[in-house]
Amino acid sequence: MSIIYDNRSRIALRVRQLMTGKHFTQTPQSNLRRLISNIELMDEQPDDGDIAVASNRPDLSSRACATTQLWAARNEYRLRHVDGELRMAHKKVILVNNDKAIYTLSFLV
Amino acid sequence: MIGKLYGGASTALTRDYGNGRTEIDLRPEFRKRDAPMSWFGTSEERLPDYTARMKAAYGDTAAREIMIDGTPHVMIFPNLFIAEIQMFVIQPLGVDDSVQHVTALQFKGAPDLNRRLRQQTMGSVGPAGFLLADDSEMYERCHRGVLARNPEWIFLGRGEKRQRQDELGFTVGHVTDEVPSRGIWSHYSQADGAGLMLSREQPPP
Repeated sequence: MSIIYDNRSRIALRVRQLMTGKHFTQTPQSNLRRLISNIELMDEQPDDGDIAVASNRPDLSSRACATTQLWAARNEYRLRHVDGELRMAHKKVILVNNDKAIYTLSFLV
Repeated sequence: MIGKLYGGASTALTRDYGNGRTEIDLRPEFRKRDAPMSWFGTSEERLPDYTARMKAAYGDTAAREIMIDGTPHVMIFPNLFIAEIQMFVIQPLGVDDSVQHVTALQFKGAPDLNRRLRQQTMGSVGPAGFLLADDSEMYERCHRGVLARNPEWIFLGRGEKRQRQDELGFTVGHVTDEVPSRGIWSHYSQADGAGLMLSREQPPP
């Protein structure tokens, strides 16, 4: 079971939820600082022409009435050339603490 | 769709079974819709294997009733919650700190239904759930409200004047009323070792 398992349509639904102004965990909105590092082009590449990339990221989040939280994860991406642009086809976020109880994760990680 | 179920015009009910067991009963609204699997935001046509197995197991009439009524939304004292498509066990760590353990319901021999149960569970609950993230936020805001000593009282009287007994003698109220809160706290206040005093008097003006 995933904490988030979204296709493009469900991601759009999350954005719509935020835009209603009634998404209480984001009222007020979190202050976020995202960092991405250790970007690697993976040795093993998929057969279908997509590009496999990974990175590490710590995000710092401060929500009203919550202590500043550090969310650390490894990201795995599939990137794809579409009409001359590099687009994201797949993103998997593996939180370092995904085997433990975690607090509300209300920003789009 | 979910807004209407919990809105002012809804015919859905809250129910107190006693012993701290309470539920939200959405069947009146689902029966008005009269569409099998509408409770789950889907249809018989989209779940043909599950539908066929239900009819084989229960006969057409009973299967149709079950598939219209849907699954329970019930809290079993002290910490079990059957939440239609998923189950929670709430593990208290302190008065203001608890872990919600949750998993999707899965039925034997229903892989098509189970797939949707997992998808909808992941979408609705958990730390990033469409429903539960905001629910948890409201629980935490209630914690902060409870800590405030001014005003001194917490009022759980919503719907007291319009609650009634159902055909089995259980107390029921409107889906937005606080019948379940009153039921849980009444039971808790009588439990052995409960360090809680509830007052039935009017709060000070």
